[in-house]
Amino acid sequence: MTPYGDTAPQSGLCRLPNPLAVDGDRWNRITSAVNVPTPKSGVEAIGEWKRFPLGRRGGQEAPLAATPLGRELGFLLEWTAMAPFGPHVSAVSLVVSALDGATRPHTGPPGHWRLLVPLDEYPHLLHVCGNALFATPWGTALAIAPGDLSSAGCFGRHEALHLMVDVTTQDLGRVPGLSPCEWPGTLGRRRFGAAQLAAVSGLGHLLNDANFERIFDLLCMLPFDFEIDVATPLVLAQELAGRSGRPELIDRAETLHCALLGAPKLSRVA
Amino acid sequence: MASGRPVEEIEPADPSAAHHRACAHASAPSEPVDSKRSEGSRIVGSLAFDEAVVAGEVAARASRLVAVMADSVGDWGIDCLWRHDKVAAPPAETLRALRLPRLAALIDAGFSLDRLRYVRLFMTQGFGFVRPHRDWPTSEPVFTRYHVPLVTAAACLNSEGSRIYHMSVGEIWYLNGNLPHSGICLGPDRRIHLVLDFDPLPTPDAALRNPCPGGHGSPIAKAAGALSPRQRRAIHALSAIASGRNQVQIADALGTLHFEYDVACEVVYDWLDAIAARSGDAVACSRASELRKAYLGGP
Repeated sequence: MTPYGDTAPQSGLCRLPNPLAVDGDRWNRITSAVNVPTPKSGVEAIGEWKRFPLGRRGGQEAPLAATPLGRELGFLLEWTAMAPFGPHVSAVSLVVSALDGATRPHTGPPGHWRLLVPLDEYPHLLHVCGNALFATPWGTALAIAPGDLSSAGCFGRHEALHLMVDVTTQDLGRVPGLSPCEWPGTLGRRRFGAAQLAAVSGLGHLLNDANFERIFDLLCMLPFDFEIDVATPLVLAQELAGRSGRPELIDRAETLHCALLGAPKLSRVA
Repeated sequence: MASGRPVEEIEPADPSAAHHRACAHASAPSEPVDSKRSEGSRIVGSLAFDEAVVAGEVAARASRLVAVMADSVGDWGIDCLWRHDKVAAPPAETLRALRLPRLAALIDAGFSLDRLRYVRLFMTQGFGFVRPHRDWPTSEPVFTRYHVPLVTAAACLNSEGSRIYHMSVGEIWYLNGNLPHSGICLGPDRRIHLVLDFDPLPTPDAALRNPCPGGHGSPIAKAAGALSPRQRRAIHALSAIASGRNQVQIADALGTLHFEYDVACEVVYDWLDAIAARSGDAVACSRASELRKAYLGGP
C-alpha cells in the first residue's frame, strides 16, 4: 500500500523526508495553546478530541493562510510549508486525542490525501485503515488515500498530538516527497470469529434509544482489537438497527453512516 | 467589571469529576454506601420565576464554548459562572456583569450565599448522559450541591441507585453526592440546570432562605421492568469482544440501561468486572477495576 507512486492511490505508512522535531520550549507553547475549550467534537469523535485549525489555503494559487493559532505556532506551519508536499497542502490542523477515545470510521475531504503526523513517540496512538492496524512512529506519517476510511484510537494515560495535513495534487496517486516506510507499522490483532459475532448480535437485545450511539461507538472499537476492516462497524451498526425494526434507529444509523462518509443522505421513497 | 479576576478567565472545574476524585481522595479509604445513614436526593425548596425570561438569559451562555463535563458522554457541558477562589466579587455582581441579572436575582432570593463555592450551569441535550458515579468515596461529604432546573423536558432524567426521577423547573433539589447517581437527556431537548455547590452543610436545606421539603418528586416507573435472561446473557457475552481498549465504551453501552430496566445505576461496574473476568484479559480486568474505583470509589 503506497502513497508514493502506484497505479491507484492506496493508504499506507510513510517515512517523512523531514521529520517534525518539537523541542522543550515549543512543546510548552503547544500544550499551553491547546488547554482551552474548543467547539464540540465532530460526529466522528468517540470521547473529546480537540482539533485546532492552523492554516487553510483558499485556492490552488493562494498562499496558506494561518489562523491566529497557526501564527502562534508558526513553526508547525513552517514545517508543513517546507515539506515536499508543502505547495499542495490545502489545510493543516493540530489534533489532540481523547483519553480512552477513538474516532469512528470516517473519510477526509474529497479529493485529498490526509497525512497524520505524530509530534512525538506515541505507542498508544493507533490507527486503522483498510484492514490494518497501524502504529505511527515518530518520523512517519500515515497517509490516508482520498476516499479511504480510517479510525484513530488513543489507549494510554496521556494525550497524543498529531498534525493533520490535507494534501491535494493533480496526480492523486502519490503524495510528493513521501517514501516507503521501513518500520513494520502494522500490528497484529485477534481473529473475529463466531463468539465475537454472537457478542455483537447480542447487543441487539440491549439496544434502545438511549444507547444506540454508545453501542455504535463500541462497535467502532472492534477494528483495533480484531482483524476486521475499518468499515465493518458501520455495516454491523446498520444491521443491528435494521434487525431492531425501529425506524428511528434505522434512520439514525443511516444518518451517522452518511455523515462519516461525507455522503448525502438519500431520501426514502414512500 | 468589578474587582477580581475577570470571570472569562475562570477555569471550568468539576470537583466531582472522576479524575479529581482519584487524585484528591487517593489516600482516603472509601466506605460502602450506608443507605440508612445517607438520605436520598430530594426537593428542599422552590423558586418562582419567569421561565421564558430566564431561559432566554441563559440561552446566550449555552452557545458559548464551555468545558466538557468530565464523566459525561455525548453533549454535556459545564459553564462556570463564579467560583469562590477565583473571583473576589460577590456572585450576584459577577452574574450581572455576565448579563445574567435574573439568574443573579434568583440565587439571591433562594439562597444564603456565605458558604457558596461554585455557581455553574450544567447543560446537556441529545442523549447525553453522565456515567454513574459517586461524587466522593466516603460518607463525609465534600460539598453540598443544589440543582435548580432552568430549562428541561420530560425526557431529562436523573437516577440514584435504582430510582429515577425528574427535576422540574421551579424546584430546588438537594443532591446527595455520596450515593451512586447518573443523569440523562433522552431526546433532542436541551436541559440547563443552575448548580450551586456549598461547603459541606449540616442539613440538606441549610443554604435555603425558605426551605420547603417537597419529597422525592413524582415517582417514575422504569418502562421495561426486569432484564430478561437473554439480555443478561448478552451482557456477559460481551466478554468475547472485551479488551483493555474498550472498557469505557462497554461501560457506556450498558450505562444507560438502568433508566429503562430494574437495575441500579452502579450495577454497570459489576457487569464490567464480570465481563472482563470472563474475557480472561488481564488488562481488561485491570481497566474495569480502575473505572469502578474512579467512579464509585473503593479499594
